[in-house]
Amino acid sequence: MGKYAAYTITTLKNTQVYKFDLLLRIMNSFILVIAFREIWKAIYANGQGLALSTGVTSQGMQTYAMLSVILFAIMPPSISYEISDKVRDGSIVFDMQKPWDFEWMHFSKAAGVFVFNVVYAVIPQLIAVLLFFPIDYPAGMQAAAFAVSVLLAFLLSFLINFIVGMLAILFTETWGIDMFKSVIIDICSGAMIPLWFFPDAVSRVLLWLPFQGIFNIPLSLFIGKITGAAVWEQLAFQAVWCLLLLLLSRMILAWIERKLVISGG
Amino acid sequence: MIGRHIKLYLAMQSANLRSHMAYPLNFAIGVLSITFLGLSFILVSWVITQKVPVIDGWSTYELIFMTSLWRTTHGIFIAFFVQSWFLESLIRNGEFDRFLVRPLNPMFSFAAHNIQIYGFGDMLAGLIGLVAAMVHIPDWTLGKIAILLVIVISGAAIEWSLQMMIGCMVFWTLQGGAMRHILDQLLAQFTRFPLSVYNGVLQVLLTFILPVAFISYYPSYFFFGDRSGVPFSPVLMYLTPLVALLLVSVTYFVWTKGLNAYKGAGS
Repeated sequence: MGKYAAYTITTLKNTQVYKFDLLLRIMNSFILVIAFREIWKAIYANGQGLALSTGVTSQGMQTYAMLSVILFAIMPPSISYEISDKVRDGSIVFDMQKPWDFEWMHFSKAAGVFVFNVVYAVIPQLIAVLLFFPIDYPAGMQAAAFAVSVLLAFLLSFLINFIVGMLAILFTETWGIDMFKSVIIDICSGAMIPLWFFPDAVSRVLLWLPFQGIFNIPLSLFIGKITGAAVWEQLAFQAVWCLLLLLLSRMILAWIERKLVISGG
Repeated sequence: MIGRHIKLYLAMQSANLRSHMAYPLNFAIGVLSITFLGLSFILVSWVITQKVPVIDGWSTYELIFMTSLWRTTHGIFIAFFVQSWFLESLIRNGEFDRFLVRPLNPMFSFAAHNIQIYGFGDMLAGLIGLVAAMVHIPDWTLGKIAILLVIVISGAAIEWSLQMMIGCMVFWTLQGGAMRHILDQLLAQFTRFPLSVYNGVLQVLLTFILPVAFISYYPSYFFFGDRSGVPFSPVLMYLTPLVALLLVSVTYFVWTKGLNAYKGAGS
């Protein structure tokens, strides 16, 4: 356990070097927060009875949109590029040979980036939003459920990234594949448009996919669209998908490790 | 003189293009993924207008027209001028000096230095969106299509100018290239919905200070039946080519000043 924690701390230290980049990222996010808020405010002002038909008020939707930008900041960065670079120059072999688990190693690194992002990006952004815009935030059990849901969302996002990153070992060039992944997550997770805005047939399908666990569930918990017994259901939904994706990633990893040995030996 | 430059440009860019297409499968997946990204933004406009058919007077296809117009101009910028993003790293690595010692205008050398195939993915998505929208917007004439072409090129020139001016900061500071991420964000976000949805400060900013609204918002009005509701003045919908010309001149001036101030990255 110690070596993984050490890796997390090293990553945390490495990321702190780029202070100016961070400032730009926060400014960037804030522009997005303003843009999203104004767009959804206008959409609600133009829509007749939208609050009734969707069950979310204009105020709630603005909070959802602003928070989606902030939640975006804690999602782990893509590992495909790193892996495909390492495959090209062959150094992937050293990563696989080291006496640690390849997936845990990447998770420890993602955890370091996560801690950094929460401290340096999410908290300043949240303070900025709370200062400039009045938003309602959850309390008590609902807030606790939201926090757990965010952690599960991070885990889901990490596992999807890791699985796509594994594909990098097979295809060497993953820029395009990674782009497809990002677009699918942006659309299917509710990050760009909340799921209840999609046509009914589409949203029914999207509600079964793992992607909605990344944005839709935590954000819906925050604005109180999910309450009561449904809270447990949705948290369980995220947990079950985490488990399934974890199993899938272990299977792919085992298969790739065998394959690497064969082509090496 | 001009003929020689055109020949040279084509020769250099076709060499660049061939080097990018060395891996055909990666090339295809890369371009298609960018097309997919472009289409996803068009999908967002479509999905939203299924629940709210008219946003500040703009219908589904008018919104798709606006966002596709930007996607197309952005594709041209990415394909032919994306190197403006990398001025900082070119200068830091000392590669920029190559353009200065060639017997050519450095701006020409710089422009012919790279072609980015992913731009064609953006252009493809933009054209699909434009055609899908134009079918639903009445009264198209050949003249209007010719004007659309001028608008698309002017829009690309506006994006190029803004990106280059930020890029040129590096001549004086040797850093600051990261500022472009903020400009990218402004371009991508504020070209998708009518300017009137934003507050007054943003409207002034995007019209008179960083004229992003001239890329897709103001010129769109020119092609629509209902031209009422243009903020500030209806004249603005005709001004895109003029704004482009003005910005390109200013950018070239800044570039020349920058080259004079540039002392190289070494000691």
